[in-house]
Amino acid sequence: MAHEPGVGERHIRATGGRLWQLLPVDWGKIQEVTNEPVPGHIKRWWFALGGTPAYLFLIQITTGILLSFYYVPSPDHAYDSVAAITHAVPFGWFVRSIHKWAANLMIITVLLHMCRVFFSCGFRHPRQVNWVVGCGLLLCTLSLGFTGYSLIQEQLSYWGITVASELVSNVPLLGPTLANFMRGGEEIGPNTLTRMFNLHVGILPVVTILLIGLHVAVLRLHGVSDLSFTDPRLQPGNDRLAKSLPGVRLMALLAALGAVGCILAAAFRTTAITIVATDLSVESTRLLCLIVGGLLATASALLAQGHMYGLLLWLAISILAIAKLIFDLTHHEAIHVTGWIVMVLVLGVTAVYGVVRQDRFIEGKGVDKPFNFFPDHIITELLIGTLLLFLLTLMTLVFPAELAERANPLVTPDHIKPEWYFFFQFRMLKLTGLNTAVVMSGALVLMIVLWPWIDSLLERIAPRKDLGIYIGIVAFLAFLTFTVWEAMV
Amino acid sequence: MMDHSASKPENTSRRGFVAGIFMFAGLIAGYGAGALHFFRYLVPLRSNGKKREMFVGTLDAFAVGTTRTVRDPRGQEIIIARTSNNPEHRVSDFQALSTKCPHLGCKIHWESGKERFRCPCHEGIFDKQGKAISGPPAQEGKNLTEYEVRVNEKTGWVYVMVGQESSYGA
Repeated sequence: MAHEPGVGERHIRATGGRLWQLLPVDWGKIQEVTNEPVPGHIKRWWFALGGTPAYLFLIQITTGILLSFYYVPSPDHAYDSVAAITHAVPFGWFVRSIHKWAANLMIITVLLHMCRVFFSCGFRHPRQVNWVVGCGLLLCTLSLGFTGYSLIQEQLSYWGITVASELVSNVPLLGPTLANFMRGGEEIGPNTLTRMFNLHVGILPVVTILLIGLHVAVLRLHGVSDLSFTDPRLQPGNDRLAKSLPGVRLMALLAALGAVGCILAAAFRTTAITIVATDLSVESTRLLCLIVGGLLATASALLAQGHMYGLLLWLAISILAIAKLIFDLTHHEAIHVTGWIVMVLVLGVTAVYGVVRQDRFIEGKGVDKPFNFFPDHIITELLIGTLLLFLLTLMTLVFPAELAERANPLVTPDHIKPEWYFFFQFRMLKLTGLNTAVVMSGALVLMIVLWPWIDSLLERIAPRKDLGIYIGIVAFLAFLTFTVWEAMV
Repeated sequence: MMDHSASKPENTSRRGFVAGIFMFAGLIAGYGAGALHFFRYLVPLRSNGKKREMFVGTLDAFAVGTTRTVRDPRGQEIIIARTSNNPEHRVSDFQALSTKCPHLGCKIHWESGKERFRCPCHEGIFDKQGKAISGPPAQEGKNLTEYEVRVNEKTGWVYVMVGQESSYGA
């Protein structure tokens, strides 16, 4: 590289060196690494999906640590401690619900990311290894889901692990040994729970973190793959920026109106409000109105200029406001029900609109040319993250995690079902025999892991026919059909 | 190690190569032994295969045509039925069935109206004697597990034979 002083060096000189000597980081090098230009097609949402499971994984770590303060991994106390988290611990229901919904979203986003890589053939030579690492991450995510669910010790989690361990014991040759190892004995017992707990909070998260590191490192070594097909929308001339879009102008106007309303309330309001079961004093209410008004005014000014941070601020405020409005609606505290619903709809529509149009906030978006990883791509990822928080909060408020009947080893409930992400296998089990289903599951996993090589074999048999794509479509439709079928029954 | 010797053959002496092999083997043996012990630590305790008697009731109190349910030390339920009164061969009076479905381990229950056992998971049906009639267990030819019953002629006590646990439970 060039030998003129880099950005970092200049930075060190500018800030007076001595302090920076304590932390001798070459900022220029770091910028070189983080600012690697990425191809223009990455601005499409579809291609930025890989960051979402990672973002959700961070949420899982945070909420998981919080849950582990109260959870007791013993068969006698597990259910009661989950009940305490759900019903007694302040905001315990919220933390648990976020953990539950983030787990489900994590599996969905991993599958979506996998679909994108599959259908854009991102796994082809020389990127086979990263596909295999990704498969490892998929298995880790599914195992985390399964082990986490079995910790609750309600009826379905108990019988779920019973059935799963019996399935494992039907694996040819190794089966019984594997099942005993998984259960920590020949029957489900106290050792089973501690094993599941250890896997869920210790081994699997560490393996997942290592694999994520490897996944990202291999990705950076290869660089982002080039797109093999063209997107008609990525043509020069189609680059109207955000500030000239009528929708964005409308959002700025709404934010300005909201700001005026809040500031008027800050000046004249004499009644206190209650925010999610916390009563505020009149003074606090006015202060809160003033802060929200200031934030809305900032958002309005930034949106009017078509600035990315204006959109972020608007999204953040919308999420909190929608959460509060829906909480009121579901707890019969809404003052004017219709008004509340209209506000939720307006905020929701603008948030979705902003998220859909986020690429217009980046200058030079219309041209398919490389752009900087930081900050442009990071902003895309942050926006997806905000959207996810939005979804999570909504799901949590509308469908909080509940607690079913306590596990009873003496009674199997009439309709037992695994979590939805195992519906596919469960349906397969019902359609075929036990041994067939076990062997087929193994073959399926092996096929997914080895797909890059199977695909290249297909390419050699029928060049440029993209047989793999059709197989993928059939497999994906089969997965959807089986999942929906099992859900309907 | 191998790459190194392959790229610079002039630097490889036979002695160095052998030393490398031994060093590698030593490392594997040392750390491998440690890993093996950690693995052994995680292998669950095996039952020793021995069985012990578990008291069910006395001949006098166990009327013909009735059943009793007991739980073995692992928590599995066993249903013992007395079907006849045959002083010549007491053991044939009784039949002890496991309540664990041989398909996927769910708990079966007795449906008194239909005189059959039913597994709620995949509709496995068994008759009075524990023979699989329909559902996945019948397709796979798996009947309910039968436990051995013993009767002490002198005292008239009835036992069912269950697996003996290690003294630490688990």
